[in-house]
Amino acid sequence: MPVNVNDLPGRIRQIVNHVAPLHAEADVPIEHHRRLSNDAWNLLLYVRRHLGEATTYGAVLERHLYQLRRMVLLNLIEAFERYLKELAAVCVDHVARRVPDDRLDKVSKGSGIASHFAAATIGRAVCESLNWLDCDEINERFRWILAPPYEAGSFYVFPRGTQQPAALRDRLETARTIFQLRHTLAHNLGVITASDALKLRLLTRGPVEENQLLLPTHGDVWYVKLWLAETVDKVNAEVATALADLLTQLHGQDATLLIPGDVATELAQRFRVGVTVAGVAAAP
Amino acid sequence: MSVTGREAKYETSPLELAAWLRASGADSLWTVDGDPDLTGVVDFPCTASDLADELERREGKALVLHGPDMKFGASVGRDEIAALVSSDPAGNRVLQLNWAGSSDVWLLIEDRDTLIEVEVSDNLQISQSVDVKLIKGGDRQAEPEGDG
Repeated sequence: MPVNVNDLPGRIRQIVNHVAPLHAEADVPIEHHRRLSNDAWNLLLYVRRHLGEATTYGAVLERHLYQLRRMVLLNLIEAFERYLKELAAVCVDHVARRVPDDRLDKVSKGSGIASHFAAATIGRAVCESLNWLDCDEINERFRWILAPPYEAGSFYVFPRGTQQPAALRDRLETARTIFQLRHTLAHNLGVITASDALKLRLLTRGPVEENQLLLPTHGDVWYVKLWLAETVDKVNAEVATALADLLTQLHGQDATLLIPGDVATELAQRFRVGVTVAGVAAAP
Repeated sequence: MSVTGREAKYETSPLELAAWLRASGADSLWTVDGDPDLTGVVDFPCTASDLADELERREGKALVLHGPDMKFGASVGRDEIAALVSSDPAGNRVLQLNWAGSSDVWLLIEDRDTLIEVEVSDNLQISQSVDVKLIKGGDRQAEPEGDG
């Protein structure tokens, strides 16, 4: 006899109201990222700690742990996407009202800003509707956001060759591999399709079998978490400096655009790093 | 997670907690589960010494929650904290805490699994080969400029 639950469509509609307020650190992208990734990691540890010693149904437990690791790995990568989105929004908030060019059109490419007019800030309105899972798109958007007025900009989150900043030059290949793993986890439930295998072979320069299920180890999950944390730390520092430099340049062109001390203080709080705007330094 | 009210609360300082953590093995790995502040500023798991560094920046009082059978007074130092540690089913050391004035209970948990797995799979000593560093906001040094 089938299980019968009344009004499934209505119950599903109710899911959207099962919510809690955002954490306070959501206003500070790097802290929000740490919290999200630590929460994902702690879920893995909690289950492993309390079930990992069980001796009954060991094969089933191991299968569930692989599934859990795939989910946690996906959560870690999506926390990174969330970080990039929030970081870009902070930058847009500081730049948009101080530049006269059409950089926001270039960033959003018309992808649904109108539906986000209710967002708390212009930055969120521009950035929330976009995916931040492609290194080339991420590069292009940050380049435009942090560009001097009427210029194409030179800041790359994932620079290649001699692109700036130099401190981020070693990130591109691993970021692409991680985003491809995310694709496999999110869209194919961890199954490496022929198409995934081809891309992963090119990215890792090694053999990747197709039509295999990804079985990440505990260490695999941790290595991704470590790399993402290190990357977020570096990107955060570089973007803070680039934004402070741009605002300094804008202030040099028109001193009425901003009060350096106020802006430096706000940037230091939002990025949790020391910054200098138009000669005024601030610490978090 | 909230306080059940059944545990006894032993007051200690972040400094004493940090001292106990350092004594527990500088290269042991630890995680914090449930404290929104610490999980926002530290990437876990981290070494005992890195977490101790962060705790030493904290002010206020921490309350160690434990069964009511201990004979200690209301305040405990680093030596008594060791007696309030329990173990989870996997043998990791666990302290249940909350900050004075907060109802959020959080766990300070040893992460032996990660340490063991990395050592076994890579045959490496974590303190020598893996850069497990505390990432702190506000006091990091600028990266040296690269070669380009």
